[in-house]
This record gives sequence, structure tokens and C-alpha cells, in this order.
Amino acid sequence: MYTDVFTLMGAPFVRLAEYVSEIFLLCYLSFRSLFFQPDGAKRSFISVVSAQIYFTGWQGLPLIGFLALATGFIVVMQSVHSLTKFGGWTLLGQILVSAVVRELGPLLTTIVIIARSGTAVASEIGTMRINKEIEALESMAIHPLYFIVLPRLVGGTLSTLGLAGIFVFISLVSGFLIAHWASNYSLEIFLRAISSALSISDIVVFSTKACVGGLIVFSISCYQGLKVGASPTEIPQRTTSAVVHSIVAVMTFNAIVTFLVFFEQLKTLGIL
Amino acid sequence: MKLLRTEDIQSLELRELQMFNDCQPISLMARPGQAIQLSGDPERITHVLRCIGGLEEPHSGGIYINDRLMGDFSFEEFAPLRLNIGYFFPMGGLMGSRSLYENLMTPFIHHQANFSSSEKVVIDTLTELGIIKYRDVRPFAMPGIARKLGCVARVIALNPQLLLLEHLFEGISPTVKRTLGSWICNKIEKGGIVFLRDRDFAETQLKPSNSLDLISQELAA
Repeated sequence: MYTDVFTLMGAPFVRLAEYVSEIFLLCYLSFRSLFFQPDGAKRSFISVVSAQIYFTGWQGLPLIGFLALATGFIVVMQSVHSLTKFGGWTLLGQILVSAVVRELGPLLTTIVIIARSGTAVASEIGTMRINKEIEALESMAIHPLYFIVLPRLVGGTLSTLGLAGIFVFISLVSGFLIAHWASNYSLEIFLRAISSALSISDIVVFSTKACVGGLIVFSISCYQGLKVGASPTEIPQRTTSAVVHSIVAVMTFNAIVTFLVFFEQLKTLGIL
Repeated sequence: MKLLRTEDIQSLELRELQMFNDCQPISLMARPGQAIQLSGDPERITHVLRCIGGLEEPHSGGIYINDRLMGDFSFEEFAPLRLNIGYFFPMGGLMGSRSLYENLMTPFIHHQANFSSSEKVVIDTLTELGIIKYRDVRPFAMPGIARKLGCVARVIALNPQLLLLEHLFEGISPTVKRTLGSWICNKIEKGGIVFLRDRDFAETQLKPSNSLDLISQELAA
């Protein structure tokens, strides 16, 4: 009976551990390949990185901009009611920093990137596998991880960080405009409220969530793309897996970071 | 003319090479200046060629290049030898996101070959094979035969010593067949090793020195 219970619990756990370790290995080998390349390889590497930044960062900007506008609007509009009731307008900066900088900025950006670029990367690499492009690179002594995976990891992570920063900026601007419209909130007070609420730890949390979130999305997407075997029908299946696994992984990571920050705050306050 | 730094292949030996569990192992020693025609089970031929090209692992046995087991090489150690191995992909193999010209230039740029010399080689090869008009076209927008010749062009442009050619002469015009035939003959004369899968060498003047039947495991001179 015990064997059965362990078998039931153990098999999914072993599969999960195997999956996570393979993703880590993919990242490690990709970054390791950077140190064994001829100098000429940098040119093609930089061109693929800039293409990735263009597709993920630049082309994703309108959607991120719209979402950021809406988020700033929603967060401030929702706060107006409570803040007016209790006369706590000074707390607006704290609310925006907690909600937008720490949580919504990195999270919504990463989810948009999963939908836009994660799917594109997984299906593109899957198609490359089917079309034997990866083998062709190998036959030309070009390391596939260096040429295909690493530029996507680097470009994707930089794009996520940049887009998350733009998201936060636009959200704060839109939040200020709404606050100004709703209660004649002045720019000076708004900036003072934001700067007093924003701490180094907020910036660290924001950067960690955006960078690691981007790395998670692109490593899972590349991994799923590389897992495509010989049939084109596997491409949509792997793309779906890339999206689902990325969402689960990013949400879990964000929850862990938030929990750790909350735990640290409780310790600072002397509650724990 | 060699534009990339490569390592010469003095010998290539298949030692007790077994493709699948249920087939007989094969052994073969190939030296510079030899052309070997492979016949028999098509699946096994592809597998043998891909194993020699370093794209697949054999089930058992080993491939020794210059008396060194291929499986012992790291990716970086194998690179100079790999650049001297030209595996012709009968299907696929060109990057869909790059034009034909960019596809052919990629290995030269990556391995730091002289740009103008590489460009000249690439343009000359495309012209010789009659596909220069597809120079700026991406592979998916090209007709099938042009795509096939694009793969051939990449092998020719890299000028490798060891050629692994599968169905090279199928479906191509007699003129291009003659061009390729004389290029391969020239390669063999200059110490190249060629593995061929084709059977029909009409119009090419190509005469394989040995033939290996992968079903009977017999090597015939």
C-alpha cells in the first residue's frame, strides 16, 4: 500500500524534477556555449539578439502600453472610493508602488510576452527542428544552443525587463492623470508620494520578477520547441505546453518572491 | 580554395558499426581519393551517412576519424573536422528566416572567413548551379529543386574533404548533373572521400571505387 502511495506521489514529482533540471541544464549549456565561440560568431549572435528584442520588445510595445494605461486607470479608480472615504489620498503612492511596481507590472508584462513571444519562439524552433535547420547548423559546426537558444534567452529577458519598466512608467502616468482628474491631485504631491513609497527593495523585487520571469518564459519556450520530434503536428502541442508551463512557472515564481518579501517585512516589523 | 580552418581527414573507419539492434555490424576503411557507393536498406543508408556526419549516434560500434573515436570529441574539438565534412540534406536544412545568400554566408561569417572571398565563392557557386536568381529569396518561397540545389550549393561553397551525398542527382537537370559530377571527380582526385547513395551516374563520369551493400554487408571493389 505504501509503495502504491509513493508510486503515485513519486512519479509526477520525479517527472517535475526531471523537467525543471532539464530546463536549468538548457540554460546552463546555452550560457556556457558563449565561452567557446569564434569571434566572428558574435556578429550573428548580436543580430539574432537584436531581432528578438525587436519582435518581443518593440512590437509588443503597443499592447503593453494599452494594458499599462488601463492598469493605472483601474488601480487608481478602484482606490479613489476607499481613499476619499477615509481621507487617505496620501496612500496613493504606496498603493501604486505595491500594486503596479511590485506585482502587476512584471506579472502582466510576462503574461503578454508568453502570449506573444513564447508561442512564437516555441513554434519557430519547432519548425526549425522539423525542417532540419538545427541539424544543418550542427553540420556547419555552429553550436545550436549558441545560435538559437542563447540569443532568445538574452533578447527575451532584456525585452521583458524593458517592457516591464515601460509598463510601470505608463501606469504611473495614467494613475496620476486619473488622480488629477478625480481630485485635483498635483504632480508634485504625486511624485513625492511615489518617491517616498518606492524603496530599493521594490526595485530589486521588480527587476528580479521581470528578469527571471523573462528567462523562465524563454527557456521553457525554447525547451518545448527543441522537444519537437519528427512530426509537424507536435508543433501546436508543444506551443500549448510552452504557454501553460510558462504561466504556471511564472505565477509560482512571483508568488514565492512575494511571499519572501512579505515574510521579510513581517520579520522587520517584529511580528515573526 | 579553403576559406575556413579545417583539419584534414587522413582516414575514416567504420568499426563494427551497428545501426539498429537487429542488423549485422558493418566495418569499412575509407581513405582519401575514394568514392564509396552505399546500397541496400534506404533507412540504414541514411542512418550511416548521418552517423558519419556526426548527426546521430550509432547503436553500437564506432566511427573513427584519423584513428580517433568520433564520440570522444566535444562539440568544439569536432568543429575543425566537421567543417571538412559536407553532409548534403536531401530535404530541408536551409534556415527559413534567411535568404539563400544569407544561408550560404552564415558559416563563413560565423567562423570568421574573409568576407569578400566568401562572398565571391557563394555568388560563383549560386551562378554555377543556376540559382543566382533566388539569391535574396527565402527557402520556403523557392521551388523544391532550387531549394535542393541551395543545399548542394552550401556543401560546395564550404568545399569539404568528406562528402556525404544522398540522392544528389535525383531530379536535377543534365547540365547541373555534369557540373556536380565533374566537381565531385575533381574532389576525389584531390584527396576527397565521397559517400554516395545515387545509383544512376549517367552524364557525370563518376565511377565509385567501392560499393558497400548494407544488406549483405559486402564491400565490392
